[in-house]
Amino acid sequence: MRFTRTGLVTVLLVVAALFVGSWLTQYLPNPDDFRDDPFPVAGAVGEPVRLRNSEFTLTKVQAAKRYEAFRQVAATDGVFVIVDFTFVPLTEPGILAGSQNEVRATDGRVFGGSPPLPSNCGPTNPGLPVTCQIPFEVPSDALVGLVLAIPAENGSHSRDNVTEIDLGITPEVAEQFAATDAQVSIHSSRPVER
Amino acid sequence: MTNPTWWRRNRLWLLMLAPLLLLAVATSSFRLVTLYLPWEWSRPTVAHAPTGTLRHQFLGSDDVRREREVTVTIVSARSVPSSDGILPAPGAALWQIELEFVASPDQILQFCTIELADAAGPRYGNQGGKVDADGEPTFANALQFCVPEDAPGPTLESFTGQLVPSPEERPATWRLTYALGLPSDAEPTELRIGWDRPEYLVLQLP
Repeated sequence: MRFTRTGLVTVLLVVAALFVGSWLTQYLPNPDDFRDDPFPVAGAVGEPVRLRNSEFTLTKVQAAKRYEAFRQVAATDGVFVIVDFTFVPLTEPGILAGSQNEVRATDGRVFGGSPPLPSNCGPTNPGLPVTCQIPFEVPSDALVGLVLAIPAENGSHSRDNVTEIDLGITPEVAEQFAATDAQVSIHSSRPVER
Repeated sequence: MTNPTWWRRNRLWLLMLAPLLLLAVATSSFRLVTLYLPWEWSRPTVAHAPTGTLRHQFLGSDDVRREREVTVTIVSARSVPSSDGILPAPGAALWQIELEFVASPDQILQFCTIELADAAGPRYGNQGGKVDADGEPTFANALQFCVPEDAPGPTLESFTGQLVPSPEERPATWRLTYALGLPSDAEPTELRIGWDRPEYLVLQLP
């Protein structure tokens, strides 16, 4: 084997390139850090929010200490934040399971899962909206700035569209919500005129 | 800096770069082909007519692979004000569809999925768009009963996989009527019917 000047330069260039490359990679984003990130679609009360397969319009946000559904009453030491919204699938029949929705507090806490009393939205066909009410049990100190997260696909809060709807709960509203002693009767999913 | 000699020496690999990249993309799509598409209605048999035959293999809940062959004909499809006590929901129209099925008595055909589709693309199923006389939604199962009630033919128990024989032999031909709630401005052009994903039959509305 014979060492040449060109060969030496090539080796040095390769080593330098490897060094620069490995140094650069520490500044590049790691796929594990964002692979499961959702694709949020922001919105506000009264605004239609379109996900890839459905559209939601949040119409009302209210608070209750107890709520009634299917002739049963659920009570809480915190607050039930009850959201009214319309849901309409866009391309194929759809149903939104009540257990799939979440509200997220500004400090990162997430509330949701199966509500004390079952509440699904739909099923319905594309172009035929239904109106639904879904309650979330939340501690009083998490009310300000709550955001509603509804996934495009039941069971999938990652790698897919998720709503990010600001419930509009200011500190003043949160104070009123926390002081509520109301009992709200929740209706089941029902069709509404377009 | 370009070196013509290097380019000439490696021209074969350079030419192969594009097809190799395409091959890499194709091989990385195995999840789509083996995990996703088999669980979706992804393999249509398009009849281009109101009648057609679906032939495919399916894996039953007893882990046995069987052949299925069934011919379906749309006898009629029309918008009606009500059907069997069911009314259209606000903003909806009720479509009544009569289907004729032809299959040998040993075919397992108990539950199927029936959908209407319009030229714009959306698919409309059995659920939603229907209310009762009091205006309450009549939410139904997405699956439809696709055999005569008194002679359903052989059925498979969902959990045990046990094959249950028919109480009486199913006739070779039978007719059933379905009602689907669609938006009032939808104009369905085709009907999709399937028993086990991913194969389904596409029929043109008469």
